[in-house]
Amino acid sequence: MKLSRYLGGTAVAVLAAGCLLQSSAFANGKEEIAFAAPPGVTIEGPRFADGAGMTLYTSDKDVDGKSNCDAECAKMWKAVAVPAKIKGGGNWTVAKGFNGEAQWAFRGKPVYTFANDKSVGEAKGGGSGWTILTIATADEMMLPVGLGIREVNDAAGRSLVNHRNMTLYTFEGNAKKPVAAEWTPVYAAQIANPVGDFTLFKREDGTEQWAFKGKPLYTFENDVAMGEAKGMGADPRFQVALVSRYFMPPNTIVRNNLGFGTVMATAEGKSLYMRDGYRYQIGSHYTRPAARGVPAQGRNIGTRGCDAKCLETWHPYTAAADAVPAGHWTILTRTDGTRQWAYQGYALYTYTGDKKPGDMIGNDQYTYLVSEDTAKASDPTLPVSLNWHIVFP
Amino acid sequence: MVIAPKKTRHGSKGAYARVLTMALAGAALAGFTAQTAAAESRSFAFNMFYPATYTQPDNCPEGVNPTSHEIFRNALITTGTPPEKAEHIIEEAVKQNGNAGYKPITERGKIGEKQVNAYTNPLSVPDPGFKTAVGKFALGFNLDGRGADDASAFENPWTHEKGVDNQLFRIYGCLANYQATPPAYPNYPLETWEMVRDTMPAWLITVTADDFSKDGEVTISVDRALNHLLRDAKGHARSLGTFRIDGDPRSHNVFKGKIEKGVITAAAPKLYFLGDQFFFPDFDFTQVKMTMEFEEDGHAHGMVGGYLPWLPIYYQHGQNGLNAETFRGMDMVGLYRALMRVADADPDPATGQNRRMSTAWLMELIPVFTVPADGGPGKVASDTATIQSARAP
Repeated sequence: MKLSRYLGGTAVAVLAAGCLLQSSAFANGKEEIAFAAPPGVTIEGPRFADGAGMTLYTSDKDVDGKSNCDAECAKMWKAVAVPAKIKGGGNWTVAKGFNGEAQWAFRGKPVYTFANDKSVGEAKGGGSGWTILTIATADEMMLPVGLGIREVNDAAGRSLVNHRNMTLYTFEGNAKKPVAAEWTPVYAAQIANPVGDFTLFKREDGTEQWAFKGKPLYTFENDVAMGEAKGMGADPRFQVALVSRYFMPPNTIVRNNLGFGTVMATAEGKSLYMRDGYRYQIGSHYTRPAARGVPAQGRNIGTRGCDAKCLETWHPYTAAADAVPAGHWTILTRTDGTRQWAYQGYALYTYTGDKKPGDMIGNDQYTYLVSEDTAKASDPTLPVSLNWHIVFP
Repeated sequence: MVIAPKKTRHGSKGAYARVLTMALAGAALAGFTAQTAAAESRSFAFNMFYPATYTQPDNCPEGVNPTSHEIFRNALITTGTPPEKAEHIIEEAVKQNGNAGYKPITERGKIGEKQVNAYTNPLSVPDPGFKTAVGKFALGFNLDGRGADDASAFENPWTHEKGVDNQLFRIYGCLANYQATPPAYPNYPLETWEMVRDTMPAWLITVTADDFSKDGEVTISVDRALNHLLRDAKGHARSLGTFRIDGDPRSHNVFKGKIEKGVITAAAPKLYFLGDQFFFPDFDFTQVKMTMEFEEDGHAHGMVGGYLPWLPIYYQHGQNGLNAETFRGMDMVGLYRALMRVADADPDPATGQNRRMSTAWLMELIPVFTVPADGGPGKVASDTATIQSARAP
């Protein structure tokens, strides 16, 4: 493998596993994990949305997986179509629309957008028999006391977490035998009873450990903050305990980069970049939370701000003609008609100055949008500077 | 006094002396078995880095630049607002939360019949004037080599070198919260530095010589770390931490200098390191001069000078121009015009406008250990790939 010159042995093995995952559509070990948001459904903050970011709703009147939204209803409530060749999975199934068309359904209820929602983030249609579709709804499941579910972007999905919100991992191996000390069993109380998909695994020392779908659960000692999943790749027998996964475009990966943690990249290892504006904040933007973008700002910038000269070195991360938005990924259409992936609102690019996997030479390059032109004003809808940043998952 | 005076406010020093003693004791026990005369290296992290101001009573014969109220009043009146109305606008703006009330101030630029943002279109507003510093003394270096022949240059008050080029001092010299004479710190640079240094990757400097006790050649490397400074229980920067060197070649600099009677001097055509959006996005020095002196307790201090592009200097304040005018008493339009006026290097071939400005910066350094992140300085840290793209089911 070409990357082997740059990666350690363990890392190569992990990357190879990643490639297999792409081709087999598996996300976690041998088990297929459903998408949190399928193609055609995106995630906007705490809510599900359609490909254009419009909030999704279900209707109390829809039962048995069938839409009861007639022509009159359809004037205000638009069915969310299932993209061609896409099948359902997990919470999301393909329902029959009022006119027989394929319509996404969430837990059996067809989903719609509301005509009075005019921009991303609006949710004016809740109430009167219509329910706003939130991510939290998708996480509803029977859980042992102390466990929860939260977004773990490092693992591109929603994972089981412990009482401290630390990521949990499932173990596929002989749990009777000792594992490395960096893995800590998720112990169950002596009086605990199995619940839902959670059972109790009797350990050699007589203690009991929670297991999810039959696989014992562990935490990883190097995860020290919420949302971290540094145990990925440490031992192939351990997998993040995902309950749903996020869509990622083909040939897109998350890399663990020294000093910067996890970053988004192409399968070839080229770092992905977004173009962000200045944000006033006390303290450095180098901290990971500070460096995250604001989706509304990303949407505002869109594909603007990179002229022909800029495009010589910054290449839009293009989406295939048949690609559809899903999860945190949307698609922007450039002025030349080509399609460009956007992640959490920000159009993505690669940089020609990055020569080998892991390079991030484009990070923190600035363009100051100060104009000395006294005949034409600078674009008031753009911030005072545009800065290239690596993209955190 | 050769360079900046010693300070004790920042950085814990006792610990260094103890560890140094232990290290020497350890070396003695080991018997100094190595027969070859290995070079000595000392590494430091930048504990303080701020513009070299040397405020004297004669710097601002017409007084300092006005405060925010006066800036706003001038701005409104010179752009056509009657004085009574100007006062009313300012009063209303102060009463309101948010920036909406300040719109007549922020959008005081005019292009054609259209009001435009003054901070991104600074030349759309008549020059309000900006008081720049005059006087005999300034810290810095004779960057252009003209020396005593340069009538417009300063004299270094410590070395009495003539022909000191420090136009940045002219800019900052009549701003109240930049006025300071060492060992006092200028207020605003101190404030911003204190904010960023807890999260901004530290800057590192390593000096290598055959024998620091003798005059001779030294090699100086300046890098950026992957980690930031930590503080001790007193809030001082903690000495003797280990810093990983960021492999990003943009912030890797090596140049030669000399040590003479304990004082290190060096010159280099370029010195570049990435900064932070909140502070300075980057430092892109040309025609660099540096001087540095070790202290007995292991710390060091010094000064670096060179020509910097002035647009990032404007950007540091203009990125949030209203804030700069409100809290720093810095008229942004006046600042922009002043920067254009006093810039003294790198003329634009088309317009003749100088694009760079002579500057000098004081640095205080704490002793640290440095290790290459991976592969050594100048090489990007290799990393690991983790996951995973997923395609639609």
